[in-house]
Amino acid sequence: MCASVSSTTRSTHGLRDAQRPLLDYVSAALPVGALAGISVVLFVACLSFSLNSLDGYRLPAVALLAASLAAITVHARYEDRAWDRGAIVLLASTALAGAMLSWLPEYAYGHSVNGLVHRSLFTAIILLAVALPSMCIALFYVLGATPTARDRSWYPLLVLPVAAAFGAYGLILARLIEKGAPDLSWHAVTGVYSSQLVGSAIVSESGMRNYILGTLLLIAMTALIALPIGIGVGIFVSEYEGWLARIVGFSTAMLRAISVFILAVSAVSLVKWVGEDDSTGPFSNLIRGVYTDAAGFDHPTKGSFLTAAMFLSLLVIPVIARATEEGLRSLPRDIREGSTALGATDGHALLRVLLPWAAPNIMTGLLLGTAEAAGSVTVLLFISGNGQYGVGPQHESTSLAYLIFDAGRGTNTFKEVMGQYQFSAALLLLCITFSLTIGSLVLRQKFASRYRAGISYE
Amino acid sequence: MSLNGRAIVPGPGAFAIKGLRVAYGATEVIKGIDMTIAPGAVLAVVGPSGCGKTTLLRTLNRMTAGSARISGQITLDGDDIHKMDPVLLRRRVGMVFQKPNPFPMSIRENVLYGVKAQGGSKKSAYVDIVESSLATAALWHEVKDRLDDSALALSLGQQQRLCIARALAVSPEVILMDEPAASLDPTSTAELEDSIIGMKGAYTVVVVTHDIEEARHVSDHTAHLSAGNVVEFGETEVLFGAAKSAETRAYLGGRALAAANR
Amino acid sequence: MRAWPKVVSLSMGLVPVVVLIAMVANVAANSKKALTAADVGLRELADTKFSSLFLSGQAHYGLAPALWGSIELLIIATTLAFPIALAMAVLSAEFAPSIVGRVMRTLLGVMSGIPPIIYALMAIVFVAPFMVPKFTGDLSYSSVHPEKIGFAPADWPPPGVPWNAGAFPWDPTGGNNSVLLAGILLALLAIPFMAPLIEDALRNVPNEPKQASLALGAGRWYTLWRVTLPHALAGIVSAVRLGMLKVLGDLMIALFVVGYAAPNFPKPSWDVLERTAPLTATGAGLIGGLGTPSACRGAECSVGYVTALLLLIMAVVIVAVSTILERQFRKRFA
Repeated sequence: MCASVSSTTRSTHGLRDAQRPLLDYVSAALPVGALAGISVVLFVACLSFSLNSLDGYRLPAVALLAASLAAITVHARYEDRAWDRGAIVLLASTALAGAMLSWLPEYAYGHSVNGLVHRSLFTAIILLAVALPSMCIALFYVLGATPTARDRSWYPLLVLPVAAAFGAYGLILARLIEKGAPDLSWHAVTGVYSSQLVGSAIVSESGMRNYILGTLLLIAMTALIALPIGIGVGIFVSEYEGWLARIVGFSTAMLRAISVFILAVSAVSLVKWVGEDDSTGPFSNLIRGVYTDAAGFDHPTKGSFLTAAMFLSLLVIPVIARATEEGLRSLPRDIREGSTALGATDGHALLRVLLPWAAPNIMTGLLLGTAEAAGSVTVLLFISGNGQYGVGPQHESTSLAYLIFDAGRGTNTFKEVMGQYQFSAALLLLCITFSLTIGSLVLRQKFASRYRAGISYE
Repeated sequence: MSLNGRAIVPGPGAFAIKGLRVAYGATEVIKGIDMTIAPGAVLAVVGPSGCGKTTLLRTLNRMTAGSARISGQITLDGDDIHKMDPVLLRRRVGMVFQKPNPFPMSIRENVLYGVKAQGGSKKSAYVDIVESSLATAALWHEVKDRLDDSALALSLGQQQRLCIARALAVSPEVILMDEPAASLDPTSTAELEDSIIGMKGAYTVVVVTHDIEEARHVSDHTAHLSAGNVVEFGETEVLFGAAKSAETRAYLGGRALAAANR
Repeated sequence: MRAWPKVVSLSMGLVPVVVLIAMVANVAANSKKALTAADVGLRELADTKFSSLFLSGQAHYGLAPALWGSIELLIIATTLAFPIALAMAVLSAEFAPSIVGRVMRTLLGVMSGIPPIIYALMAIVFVAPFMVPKFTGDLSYSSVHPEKIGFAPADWPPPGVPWNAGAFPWDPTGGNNSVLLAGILLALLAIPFMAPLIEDALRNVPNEPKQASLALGAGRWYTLWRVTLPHALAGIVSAVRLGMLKVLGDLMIALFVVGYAAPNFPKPSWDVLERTAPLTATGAGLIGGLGTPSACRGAECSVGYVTALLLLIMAVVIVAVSTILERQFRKRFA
C-alpha cells in the first residue's frame, strides 16, 4: 500500500520522467548495498575486539559506515519521504567517531598498557555502537519501509547479542570438551593423589578418585543438611504468618543475598575458633577434620567434609525454602480446605497433602541448589585441602572444583602432578552439575502446571 | 513521518466481507459471512454467546489469535485487508474493548498514545487532538481540568469513554466496539451510547453487543449472528419491526421482552 | 502434640536467622579489630595505598582500590549482562516463535549449571591467549609471541616504562588480566540467572494493554517500549538484583583472572584494560587462601574480614535500593 501511494505522489513530482526507471533501480539497490556495507563494518568491529592487526582498517570502516548511512539518507529522500532523522543522527555520530578514532592520542600510560590496545577496544566499541542501529535502519528500508518493516528492522538488536552470548557458551563448552576429554581414562578416574608421587614416571599413577567421591559426598551431605531445614523454613514462612515468619523469610533471603565470600570467611572463623586450644577432641575432629599418620598420631586438617557441607548447605537452604514456599502457594484452595475440613490435624494435612503436593518443587529446588553448591569453590577456599587424606565426613574436605582451583594456584608439587587433570576435572564437574540442572528442568517440565503458566502473546 | 505513507483519507470507511470463514483448529467459528458495512453508519452485531460476534470483529482489524485460519475476502474501501500491513490497517480501523483498558499514564498521554505511536503529527496539534477526541467521546467536560491526572483514577464509564477518545484521536475510518457497555452501570451506558450516536456520519462504527435495547437505540443497521452465520442483516428499524426470519424475531423479541420484564 | 509441625518448622526456620546473625556478628567483630588496631584504623583502610609487604613492616591496608575494583566489576558485568539478558527475554517472550523461546529457555537452564570456576579456567586458558594483549593488559606477551596477535607493536615497550612480565607463573599469558575480561566472565555467569526472570516478568504483563496498544496502530516494538517494559519494570528490577547479587557472590572468580592483590597494588583506575583486585581477591590474599587458616592472625587477617564486611554492605545496599525501586514500580502499575 505504501508503494502504491508513493508512486502516485511521485508521478506528480517534477523529476525527469525518462530517467525514472533507472533511478528507481538505483534507489532500490541503495539500502541493500548499505546493509552489506554495515555488515562488513560490524564484522570489522567484532574482529577489532580480538585482534590488534586490524588497527589500519578502522578509518576505512568508518568511511564505509558513513557511505552506507549516506546511501540510506539519499534513498529515503528519493522515495519522497522526509529526511530520516535516525540516519542523519547516526551519520553525524559516525563523523564524530571518525574524528575521535583518527585523533585518539597514541598514549601509553600505566606500566602495561599502550595506545594500540586501547585504540582497538575503542574502535570496537564505537563501531559497534554506531553500526548496530545503522543496521536496523538499513534493514527497515530493505524490508520496504512499512510499519511492520519497522518492527522487524529491530531484530538485529535482539538477535546479534543473543547469538554472541550463546556463541560464547558454545565456545567454552566445545573447547572444554576438546581439551578435557582426551585425558579422561579409567586411571584418571580411579587413581589417588598422593604428594609422594613426583617425577614424570609416577605422575601417571595419580588420578581424581578422591575429588570425584568428595564432590559426590559433598552433594549428598549438603542435600541431607539443607533438605529438612529448607523445607522447614518454607513451611514456616508460607503457613504461619506473623512477625516471626517475616524475620525468618527475610533472613533466608539475605542468606542468599550476602556474598558467598562471607560464608567462606565464616567457615574459616569456625575452624580457627575450634582449633584455638589445639585439642584433638571429637568435636574438633568433626569440624577441623582429622588425619591419622602412619605412626598412629592424629593431625588436624584445614576443615572437614562436614564443615564444608554445612556451609555449602547455607547456599541451598534459601533455594529449597523458596521452592517449598512456591509449591505450597500453588496448592489449590479447595484441596487445602478439603483436607482440613475433614478433621485432619495440622500434622496430618502437612504430611499427607501439603508436602506431597510441594514435593516436585522441593526436588527442583534441591537439584538446582546442589548443582550450584557442587561447583562452588569460594566456600571451600580456606577449608579444603588437596584430597590426599581420603574421603569421609571427618576427613579433610576436597572436591573437583577445588582441584581445578588448586591445580592452578596450589603448590608446585600438586600442580605438577594434578595439572594434567585440570580440564578433565572441569569436564567431570560439568557433567555432575549439568545432570543436576537437567534433572531439575525435566521435573519442572513434568509438573509444568505447578509453576505459573505464561500468558501467550496475541 | 516516513511511516505515514498513506494519504489521509478523511471520512468513514466501508467494509465489504465476502465468504468469510474463520476456524480455530478444527472448530469453525464463522461459517461463510457476506456483508457490506455502509460508511458512516452504526452497525450493531447481535447474537447469542459464542456465535462468532467477537471473532468477526477481531477479524476486521486482524487481531484474531495467531492460530486462527481465515479464508474469504474482506476489503476496506476496496483494499484487501489481508494484503495490507496490519499496522496500517489498525491505524484505519480503531478498536474499543469489552473491559476499559486505559494505560497507566495521564489522561492526556492516553489520548495521545496512538498519535505518538504513529508519528507524523505536529506537537502543536496535540492540544486540539486531545480536546476534539475527548469532546466526541463526550468526556471533555468531565476531565478538561485534570488532563494530567492518572487515567486509572477515572470511573469505569469514564475510562471506557477515554478508550473511545483514544481510538478517535488517530482519526480512523472505522471504530470497532466489542461489547463496550458490558462492564458499565446504566448511567455510564447511556453516556456511552450518546457518544456512539455522536460519531455517526464521521466514522463507521461496528458495535458488538448483548444488549438488544442498546442495539436498537444506537444502530442504523443490525446483523443477527447465530452459530457462525448471519441469520438476518438489514436496517435496524426493519429488523426490529418485522424480521423475516423466525429465529431473529424470536431472539430480538425474546430478549426485548426479557429486558422489558426486568 | 497438634502443634508439632509449627514447632518443628519454627526450629528449622530459626537456623537461618541464627546463622545469619552469627556470621554478621563474626565479620563485624573481626573487622572491629582492624578498625581499632594501632597500625590500621579507619584512615588507613580508606586510603588508596595498599601493599602486602607485611613482613617488612611496610604494609599498607588501603582498601579503596579493592572496593573500586569490586564496584567496577559489578558495573561492567551488569551493563554487559543486562542488555543481553533483556534481549534474550524479549526475543523469547515477545518476538520469537514459541519453539525458539522454549529452546532458549532450556539452553539457559542448562547454562545456569556451569560452575563459575569453569568460566575462570576457560578464560585463562582459552580466551586470554586469543585476546592477548587486548584484555590481559600486558604487552610483554606480544613481544614474546608476536605470531599470536598478528604483529608486535614496534613501539613497545616505550622508553621509561618498566617491563612487567609474568607476575604470576600460573597465568599462561605471563601477564595480568584485565577488569574487562573478568567482567565479561561474570556477565556470562549472570545471564542465565537474569534472563528467565526477566522473561517471567514480561509474560506476566497482562494482555489487555498490549492489545489496546496494537489496536491503536502501534507496532510491536513501540508496544514493547511503551507498554510491556514499563509494566514489567518491577520484575525486571528484581531480576537485575538477582543478577547483581550473583555477580557479587562470585566476584571470587575474578581472582583467577586478575590474581591476588598484586605486590604493587594499582590505584583506583577508570581503565578497564588495567588489572585490579576486587575485595574478594584481596580478602582471600589477606586471610590466606593458600596458607593454613591458623596463619591468619594479626592486622592483615582482620583487614581481610573488613573486605567481607564491605561486601556485606554492598549486598545490603543492592537489596535495599532494588527493593525500594521495585515497590515504586509495582505501585505505579498496580
